Amino acid sequence: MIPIVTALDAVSVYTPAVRVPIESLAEPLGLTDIQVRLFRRFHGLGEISLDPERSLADLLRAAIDGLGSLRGREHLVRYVVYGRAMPVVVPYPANPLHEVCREAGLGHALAFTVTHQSCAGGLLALESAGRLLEADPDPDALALVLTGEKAFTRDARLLPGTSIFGEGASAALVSTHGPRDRLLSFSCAQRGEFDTEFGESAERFQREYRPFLAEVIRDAVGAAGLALDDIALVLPHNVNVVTWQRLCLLMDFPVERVLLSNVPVNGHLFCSDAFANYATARERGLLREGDRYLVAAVGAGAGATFSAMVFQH
Amino acid sequence: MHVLRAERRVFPGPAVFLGDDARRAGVTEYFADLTGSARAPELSGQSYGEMAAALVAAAADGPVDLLVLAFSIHDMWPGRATATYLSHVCPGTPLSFAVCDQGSAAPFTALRLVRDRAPRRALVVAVEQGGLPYDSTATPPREHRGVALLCGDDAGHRVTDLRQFPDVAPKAVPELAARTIADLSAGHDRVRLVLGEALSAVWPEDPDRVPAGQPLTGVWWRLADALAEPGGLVVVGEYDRELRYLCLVGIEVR
Repeated sequence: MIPIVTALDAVSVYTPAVRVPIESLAEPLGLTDIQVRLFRRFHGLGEISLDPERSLADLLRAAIDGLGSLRGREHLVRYVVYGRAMPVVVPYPANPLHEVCREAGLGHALAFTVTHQSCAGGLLALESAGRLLEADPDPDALALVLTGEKAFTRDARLLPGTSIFGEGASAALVSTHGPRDRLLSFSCAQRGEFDTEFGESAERFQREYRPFLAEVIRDAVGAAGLALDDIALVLPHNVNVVTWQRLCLLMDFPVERVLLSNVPVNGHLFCSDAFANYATARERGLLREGDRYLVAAVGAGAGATFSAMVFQH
Repeated sequence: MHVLRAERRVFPGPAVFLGDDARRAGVTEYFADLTGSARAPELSGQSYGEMAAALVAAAADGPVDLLVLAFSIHDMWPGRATATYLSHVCPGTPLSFAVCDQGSAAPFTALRLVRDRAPRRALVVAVEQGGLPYDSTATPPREHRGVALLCGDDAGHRVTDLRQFPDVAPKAVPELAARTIADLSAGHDRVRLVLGEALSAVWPEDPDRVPAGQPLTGVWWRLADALAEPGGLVVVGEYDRELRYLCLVGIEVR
């Protein structure tokens, strides 16, 4: 069911310049000193971007503006797929997605949001864009995949005892023929039983989180026809450092091959982590031609979605 | 892809979850942060989780591989990953997600995404509720309504074609709609039109107008009637005035 080729042609990431240390969030988030220290020392969080002066549309606009390879090719973009964790982010009927599409010369594209998978929505958007392009008769057709969120309410600022959200956005240009970063597999498993409808299950969720994620990662690697040892780099969700250290122990995978350097500087960027970590990997030359790498995301709010993708660079 | 069945429901009362004080408090805080208003919102609308769960129970006759929830106006439980919840209550624990921010085009996109993935069984659930807990320029739907379409590769009502046109100016709608309906109808002796409120307004020959007030579910509600009458082609069409999407789909009724 995976398209023959879904290729990432270019990625742009934007995080607001206004940065705040997590200590300054103690009061607004109702955190004790001990909880803040745990976030810094145990979970590896440090600071986040948080700019009350920049709207959601501003974040998306900045990410699109950073995508230089879009210039002159706007007319080829048939689809804009926005992957978002928070289902409702502006009062109805405001529509920042269509606002920024019109401004960017993309008003002719079919634009929509995929959501309800929490922070795994970005990978779903990417996979959906690939399927739309695969079904499109024009081989030159492009898709733009957007992510980006404001930390505007408590649920969008804090995962209690686990992570702190930062603000940011990404824009990715996707084609069916690009030579760089081709999607090899996608695996997704949902655990709706953790919805609050079914009662308190935080402890069970914490217990089962890493085994679930490990299973989805192994599925994605297997579907790509690979073994874990073949994975040169993992681009994680930036939930925290310790989760990935423990997951690597569970999977017997070297944590040195997981790009965790953005956790202390970005916090958890909702659906944008995958793209921010990809950009960092490219900037630092961590991906060589032919490398197979894995991208993982977990959407954990009411219910949970575990997703993983394998690409070849 | 075939439409195997259509189920629809009106939900006359407010969401059950609003009777839970803790959940009301959480939702109240969310809406206050969303709008920046210190005024306590009036919470009286519906929950897409509750609405869609009832529709899923009615429509799913066995394991489902894919579930796509389509909505325009948001529901009264704004932070919930409702589709993920639905994956648990739906037989088959399908891959589930929601499509939104696209006005009345969202159910058409949901059908398109289902078609492109070609699952054995899929559910498209279109929902709209009529409560907004803050001042808005939008007119909410008249009733809380939902329609579920069970789709699959078994024999059913064949989806012959699906067309979506972004950024269509209102004055261009009649000509483009006429041309597309003619394309979709080619080769069919008997064609029935199910056109949404906005499209009916520019389509003088529509004999069977979909009543106003249900901008997302209106045409799909009427499609359930159309599928009950055997034979011919049904063309479902809708135009979103605000976002300028014209969408049409042809369905060959068994």
